[in-house]
Amino acid sequence: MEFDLEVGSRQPLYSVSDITWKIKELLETSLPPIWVHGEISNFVHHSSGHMYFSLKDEGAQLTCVMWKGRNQSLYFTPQDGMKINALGSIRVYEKRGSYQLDCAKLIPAGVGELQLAFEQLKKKLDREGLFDPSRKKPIPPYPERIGVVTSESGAAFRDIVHVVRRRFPAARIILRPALVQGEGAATDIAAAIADFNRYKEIDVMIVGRGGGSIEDLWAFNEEQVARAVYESHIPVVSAVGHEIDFTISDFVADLRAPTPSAAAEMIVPDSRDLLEIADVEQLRLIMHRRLSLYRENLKSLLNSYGLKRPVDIIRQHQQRVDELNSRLDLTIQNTIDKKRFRLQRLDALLDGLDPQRVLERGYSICRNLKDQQIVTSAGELSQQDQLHIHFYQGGAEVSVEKIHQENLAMRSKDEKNDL
Amino acid sequence: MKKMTFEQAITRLEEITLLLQEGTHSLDESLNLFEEGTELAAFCKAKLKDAEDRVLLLTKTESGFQTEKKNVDTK
Repeated sequence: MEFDLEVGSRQPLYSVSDITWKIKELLETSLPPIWVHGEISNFVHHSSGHMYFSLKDEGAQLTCVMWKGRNQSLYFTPQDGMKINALGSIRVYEKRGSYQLDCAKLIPAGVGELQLAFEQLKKKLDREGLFDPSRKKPIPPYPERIGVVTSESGAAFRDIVHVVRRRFPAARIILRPALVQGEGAATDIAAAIADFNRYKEIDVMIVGRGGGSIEDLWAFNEEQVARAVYESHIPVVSAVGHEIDFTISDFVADLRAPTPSAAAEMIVPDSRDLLEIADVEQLRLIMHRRLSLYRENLKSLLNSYGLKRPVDIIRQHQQRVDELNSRLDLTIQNTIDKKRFRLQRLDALLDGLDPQRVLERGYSICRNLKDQQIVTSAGELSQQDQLHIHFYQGGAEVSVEKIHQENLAMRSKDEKNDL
Repeated sequence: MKKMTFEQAITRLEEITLLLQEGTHSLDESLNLFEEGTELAAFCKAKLKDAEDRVLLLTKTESGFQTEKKNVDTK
């Protein structure tokens, strides 16, 4: 290739911007969105929310950016050294004269589509609250009717029956056969869970199958199974025989068992423990101990001082009654005597005050007939006043002839002193 | 004794055992509890020893569901 060294001759002269725009147009229009495989290096999750990193292999490296709005839907955190597949478009960043891959999607390389779908569904259901521990129903301690959703011919069902027969033969096992792998399995499993919820007559259900590849177990990772488990009113135990990994139904179920036989072990009690509780002999022993205690109590009561000498107690009470009785007698007698004495004194007093007795001694009562007033002083009288004189026996009417005024003043003075 | 589930029976039996052990009840009450406990124990024991094979297959019918006995060899 030859260069014309003369500026401004045949070849056009570009400004930096012009040529950059030209490059930008070339690159961005000729390269549609592409998948690029490489290893992450210099990964920075900037405080702005955007992610900046490089993808490299043995021979080259590519600057990448994943904007905030896109990287929020990532279900994993990119790290240096991680091999990924990135989907994006090549963009030219004019200001720095560089190009970069504007990433729309990142997927860890080497992870299958199924695993990816699993991670995405798990994240979605978790966000919706399907794994919420507070939503989990308790498993009844003594389930008498156990529903099983699994293949009719598989080892899982035989394992469950075997464990239940051994541990808790009182339980009834009801199988709702379901396809557990292949086309239509998820739909059938979800329908079986719904069937049991309509049938109602079970206490708990085991939903599962024996171990297998991730593809074999896939039905238990499907959304419709997860939703059927979540919506079940009957407690669900998930039992997918794949001890290490979890399935989506494991997360939604009320209890997760690593295998079908483990599920049976976990939900039924061991009859041997129960027979110990239901041992009549033990009950009899406890009752016997109780009765001995009552007997002891009774014996000690019979031997007590109170019951041994009841007569003594009665006597003591009798004595007390007698004592009180005689004290009462005495008190009453005293009161009567006092009252009688008082009565006699009053009697004598009254005797002395009886006017008849006074008249008997020669006194008489004189009344002025004019006003029937008893006359106590000659000063109350006038000449010719008619008086009535009352003697001890009989009386007489007289008229006043002469009034003696002597001693009148003196008596009045005495009367005043008496007052 | 009224019809009860195994769970109700064994729960009540455990309760009775505890009550008798506590011994806070009168003699009459204790005797009643003992009598009830004996019946419950017999009931639970009979249930636990029930050898009848109880594996059923659930199938849908037009009117709802039906169950039939299913033989499962676990030997």
